[in-house]
Amino acid sequence: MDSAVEVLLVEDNANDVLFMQRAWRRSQIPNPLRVVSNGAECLEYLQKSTRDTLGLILMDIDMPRMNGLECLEQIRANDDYDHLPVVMLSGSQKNHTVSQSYKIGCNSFIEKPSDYAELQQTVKLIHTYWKHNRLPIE
Amino acid sequence: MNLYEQIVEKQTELICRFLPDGTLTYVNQAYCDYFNKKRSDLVGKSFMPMIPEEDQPKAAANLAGITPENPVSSVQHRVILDNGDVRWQEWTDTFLYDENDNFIEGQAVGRDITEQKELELALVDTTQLFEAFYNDAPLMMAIVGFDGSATRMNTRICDVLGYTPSEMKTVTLEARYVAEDLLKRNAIWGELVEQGGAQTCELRMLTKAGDIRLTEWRFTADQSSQRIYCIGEDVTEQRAMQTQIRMQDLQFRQIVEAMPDAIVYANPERNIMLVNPSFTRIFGYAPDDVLGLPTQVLYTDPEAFIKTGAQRFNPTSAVNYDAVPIEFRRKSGEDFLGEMIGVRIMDADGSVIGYLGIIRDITKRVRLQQELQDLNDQLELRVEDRTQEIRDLVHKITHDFRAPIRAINNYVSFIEEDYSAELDETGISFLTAIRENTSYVGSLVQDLLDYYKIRYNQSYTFAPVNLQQQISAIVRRSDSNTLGTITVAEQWPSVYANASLLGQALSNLLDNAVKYKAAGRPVEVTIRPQNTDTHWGIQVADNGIGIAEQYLEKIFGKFERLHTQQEYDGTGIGLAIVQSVADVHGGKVDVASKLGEGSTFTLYLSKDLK
Repeated sequence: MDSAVEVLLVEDNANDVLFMQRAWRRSQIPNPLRVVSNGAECLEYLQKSTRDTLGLILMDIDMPRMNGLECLEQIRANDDYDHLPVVMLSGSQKNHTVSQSYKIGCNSFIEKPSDYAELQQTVKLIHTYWKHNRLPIE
Repeated sequence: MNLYEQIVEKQTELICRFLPDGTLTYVNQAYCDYFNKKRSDLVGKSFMPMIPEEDQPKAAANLAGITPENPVSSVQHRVILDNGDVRWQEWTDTFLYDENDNFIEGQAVGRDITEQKELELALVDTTQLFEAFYNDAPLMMAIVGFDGSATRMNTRICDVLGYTPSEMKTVTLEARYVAEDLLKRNAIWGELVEQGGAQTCELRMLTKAGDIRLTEWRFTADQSSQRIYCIGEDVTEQRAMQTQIRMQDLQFRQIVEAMPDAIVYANPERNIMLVNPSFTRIFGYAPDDVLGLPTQVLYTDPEAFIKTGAQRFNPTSAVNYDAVPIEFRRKSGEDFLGEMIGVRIMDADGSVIGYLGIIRDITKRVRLQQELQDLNDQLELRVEDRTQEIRDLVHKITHDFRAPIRAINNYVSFIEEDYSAELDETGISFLTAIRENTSYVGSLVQDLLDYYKIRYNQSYTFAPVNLQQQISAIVRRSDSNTLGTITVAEQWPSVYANASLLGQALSNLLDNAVKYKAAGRPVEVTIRPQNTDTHWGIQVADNGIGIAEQYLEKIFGKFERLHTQQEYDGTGIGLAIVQSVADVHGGKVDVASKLGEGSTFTLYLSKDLK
């Protein structure tokens, strides 16, 4: 993943956004982290953004207006974005949600750590993983 | 034989003459015939020996009583004939005197009066008999002339009216009748005098003391003697008793008729003899529809009729007042569920004279029970819904609490990381206070979540748990080892339990045991097994501060804390969780404690778990 590739965080909780941003910064990840607060905003963002710079979506599940699963479904149903890798980040550990997410077409399902130190570790791992993976836009 | 002599000889009466000493000087032919002796055998001998000894004085006295002034006297006595027969005779003796009043000779004329005497005696006997009955009978008897004059009244009349016999002589019966009853009697007597015959009536009479007695009289008119024979009885008590019996009978009948249950009385052949109005109301049969019919017509199933016969309606069945549910059939053909009590009815000798069935229509009750059951089921569903709601709510609340608590902790960390250089000691201590508080709220939320999870989880599975291993593991895992000496017994039973709940409860007990330590002595905790008939027990005994007796009951309550957070930290839910775990395991938690010496908690698990 080239350092110029943007990552989009879809998260409604302001705390979690802040923790993610801190972890992102502290882990010295060069890629820009864009933030929208729910599924609907995510779709809007996808429509108007320059598609060639967005390379990865980190998606919370429990959100108002449009939740993560619905949003994922829309993304997979749209020819323009269905190639984008989506990593589900969830507080829920329900098996049903996990399998549902994969069925719809997520690329990874990560349990959102409640502890900040762990979150920072997780963020590092995500970055490391995608750094070595080729993204469709590259 | 001269004419005089011939006349004497031909007399049918007995004639004799005798000297003062009784020596016969002459007897006529009739005399000889009577005694069946020859004249020569009689003349020259005394007649006294022919008289029985007991009558001789009477005969002698009669002779001695005759004087010249009173020369004729009669006497009755018996004689003994040669054949042994005893006969009665009546003699009229005449003494002849000379001019100087010297006795010359006695002459006697006699006749046989045996038959007359027997009749007389029989009459005396009859009279005595009559008098005995007349006076001793418990009946009042009187003989009254058509003109109203009383000839006789027996003593029973005196007894009933309270007079002595002599007082009674001055009292008339008419005066003792209650006025209107006298009118009634007079009317009856009027008819009797005119038409004869007999009539019976009840009349009230007044005693001397003024009490009223009820008397029943039978009046019989005798036209020939112009008399009315009155036979009466004092029936006051008898009537009172009859009235009482009638009243009781009436009361019983009213009770039976007022009963809301159907009553069927049947004879030993189980044919219906009596039913009450509720029977008609419940079964629809009028009494005439079923009287005499076998009770089988009331049963839906003939088998049930046979069964009740075997169980209740037979001469040897034991008395049983339990109600039996039976399906009965109304006249309309509709079946209904009834409840019947069936018993034998016996006479005073103990022989069965019939059977009594008391039947209650329980259709309504059954329907109400069903409705109640339905309501209960609905209520249970509603409770289930509510419980689910509470479960969801608790989950939501605790879940939603945890996130901001972690966020606060994170921010505190950020401040410590980013700004510690700019904070003085007080600022740092504030951050520490924030951490302590969020940590407390964090464990509170966790404990609450645990508690409600146990409380509202419907089903737990139980599996064999090796207590030895589980307890050792808990002791190893916890930091209690570093706080004191924990001694675990070596012999433990294998029990059925939910391992995770049991672990949580034991862990809480162990935490408490080391937490409330007494100042000045090292912590010592002993964990050992207990065994009762029904339960396995796990006992955790400490040497801590102990609990005052008045607080023992409070400690299992949720959020009950006996100490401030500064003295001993904790959420106050730990023991409530232990209690819930005991509940889930069909057991209980016991506590024994002495303030200042230590506490012993025992968690009991049912042996019935599978």
